[in-house]
Amino acid sequence: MKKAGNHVKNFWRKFGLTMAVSALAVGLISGCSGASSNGNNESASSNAGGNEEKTITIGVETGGPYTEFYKNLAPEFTEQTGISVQFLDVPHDNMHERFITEAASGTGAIDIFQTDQPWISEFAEMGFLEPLNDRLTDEDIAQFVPAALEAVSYNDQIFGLPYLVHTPVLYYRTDLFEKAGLTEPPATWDEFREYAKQLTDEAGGVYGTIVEGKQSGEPVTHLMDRFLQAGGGVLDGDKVVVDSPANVEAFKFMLGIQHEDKSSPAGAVGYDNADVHNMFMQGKAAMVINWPYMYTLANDPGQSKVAGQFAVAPQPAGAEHASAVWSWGFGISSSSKNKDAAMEFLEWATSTDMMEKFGKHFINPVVKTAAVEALNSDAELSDADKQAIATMSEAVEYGKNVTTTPVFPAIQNRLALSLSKIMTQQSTPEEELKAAQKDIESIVSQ
Amino acid sequence: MAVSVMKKAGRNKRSRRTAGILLTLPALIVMAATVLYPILWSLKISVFESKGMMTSGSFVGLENYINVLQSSQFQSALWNTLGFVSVTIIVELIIGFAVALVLNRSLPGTKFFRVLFTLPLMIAPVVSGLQWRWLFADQYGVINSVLSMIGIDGPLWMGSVWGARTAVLIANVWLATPFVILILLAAMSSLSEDLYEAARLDGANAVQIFTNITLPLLKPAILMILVVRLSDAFRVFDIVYILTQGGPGGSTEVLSTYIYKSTFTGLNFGQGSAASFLVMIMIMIISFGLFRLLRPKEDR
Repeated sequence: MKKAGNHVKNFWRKFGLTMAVSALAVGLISGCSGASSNGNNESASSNAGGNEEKTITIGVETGGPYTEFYKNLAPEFTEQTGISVQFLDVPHDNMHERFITEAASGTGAIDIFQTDQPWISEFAEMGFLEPLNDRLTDEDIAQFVPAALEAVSYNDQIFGLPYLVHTPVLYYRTDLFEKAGLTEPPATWDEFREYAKQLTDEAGGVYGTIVEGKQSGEPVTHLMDRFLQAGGGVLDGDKVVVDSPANVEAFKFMLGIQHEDKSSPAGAVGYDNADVHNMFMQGKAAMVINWPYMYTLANDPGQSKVAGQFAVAPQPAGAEHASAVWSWGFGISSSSKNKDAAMEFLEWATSTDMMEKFGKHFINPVVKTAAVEALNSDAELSDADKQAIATMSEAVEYGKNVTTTPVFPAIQNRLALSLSKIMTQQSTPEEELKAAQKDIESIVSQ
Repeated sequence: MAVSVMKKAGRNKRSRRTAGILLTLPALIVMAATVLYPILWSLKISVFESKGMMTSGSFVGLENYINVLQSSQFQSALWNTLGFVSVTIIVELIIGFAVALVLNRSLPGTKFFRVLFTLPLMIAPVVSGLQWRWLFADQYGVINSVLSMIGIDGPLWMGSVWGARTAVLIANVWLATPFVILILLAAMSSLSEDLYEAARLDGANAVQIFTNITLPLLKPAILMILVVRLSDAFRVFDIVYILTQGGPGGSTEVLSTYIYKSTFTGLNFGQGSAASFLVMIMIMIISFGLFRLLRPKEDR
């Protein structure tokens, strides 16, 4: 047994030594890398000072199609203005966290934030975004479609320039509609539910539609649409109105499709929009409600089995014809040291010329009135594409900005829990909305 | 004579200690700057009211801690975490032991498998989380399509409470077990053959050898695995965040995802920090208990 004891001690000695050495190594490595990155920073800043050559850094979503679009065209901006652009990629899930820590530290390392709708009010309230009213003329403002700047405003101040203001639309398979003898896309909830049932062919692996139920932020944006369409919502002014008969109605509609009709795949209770676009592009869903970004993807035969076999329509109406609008854009960090250069980028990024390219590239709604007209008369665009852009733009007109409160991200997080609990039938709409009402009241009063 | 030897030994010991301190000083300073400072900072945040993410709020003492402990979301995250930690560690140890015992023999192919089993260690948890998300997908996932080939109707991994919990567990076990295997293999390979020979001469059977020689000798290795893996499992984040984001209905919400959401989504830095400290205290208590429990007998 003595031997065993020695053995144990040996093990600990060896282990201790290894740990000490590795701790030291880690220390050295981090020391070195710290030094080298300092060196880099210095050389970059001295360059900028000497040559009057400005560089702006833009925090963007990693791999997002809109990010790629701007990355590809940024050299044109540099050519025009002499301002070089650096993109800092952040995965979508971490953008909020990354930007908020960056903004709070106030280093100005990021000059421009790519802004996602849910946190514009929050950032504005905390003073992280530069108000742009003084930098915009009335003429500049008049060029945007009305809903566009409203989406990026907080307390009557504009906190960014959007390149996209959108709302989900209904994508439907024209070939399957024809086969089923349906001529028009559904205009109402009842029709939608009926058609979904009719189009479901479980043996053939096709579902009528998909009701997203994942406990995550994106499915909540669709839930907001359902609330609005039922005549409900989350906030009425400052009052929390989550626990309302209309919102219960919205959930009953979704539960009916999911669990009674089973016209949405059973796994949809764990889906978000990524699953929806996979399913739709695989030809496994007849109608889905998704964002305008999917249009070009689904029309690309290289990655979609349904290219040319679908069309878009406005979302079906419930008690009301409504949906929430969301913007993507660029905002200037209030701690940026290159605000003028940053503003130049914002103006370029949302210029009529760029918006025209944007609309043509993505077949998406555009935010500039002049670009809308230009796209309408563009000879290169097919009638179907023009129709799609018109439908998407029209949908935005029915849109409401639901993110006017600075605590929207916290509300969205709470609603994600409700959505998932209700759709997986761990709780009933009545019960869960009561709980959510209480929690959201405490979030708002914080 | 005896005194001078002792003195010399004492001096030796002291100079060795000084050298040791000097050698580790750079590392200690780095640790203090990168670990201690943030910890103290968040300790401060945790006793202040949080307004947005600024600490301009007033001193509130333990209010944040009380709010956290009373919140139903924290409580359910706590139970989920405790359940996850205990199950994952037991499963990891069982599989780890089984694989290590096999790989410790010099059978043909063991070298290849040793390399194979270390591969998951080299994959970032986020990446493997994404892989598992594809594998577990209900419509186009490999797992359910393989299950359906052998006539089993696969569960809705992401759409049911226990499906999601099992999925998280499987993905985590896949990621973490290689570490357990490696430590056990290293410890096993340094076991002295003499002991086994002596035991066999005394007529011990395989089970007796395992429980009386292998297990006791591997105690320090197991202790180390438990300490490292417990605190790791307690902090599990990537896999959960990527696979389920805590869903469905909060059934896979663990402490880290709860803390992340309340801090960075809800921007309640006070409560987030308070929750972090509660978790840290829990990990410390458990690790301390483990050390006591598994310390070699002669030191006790």
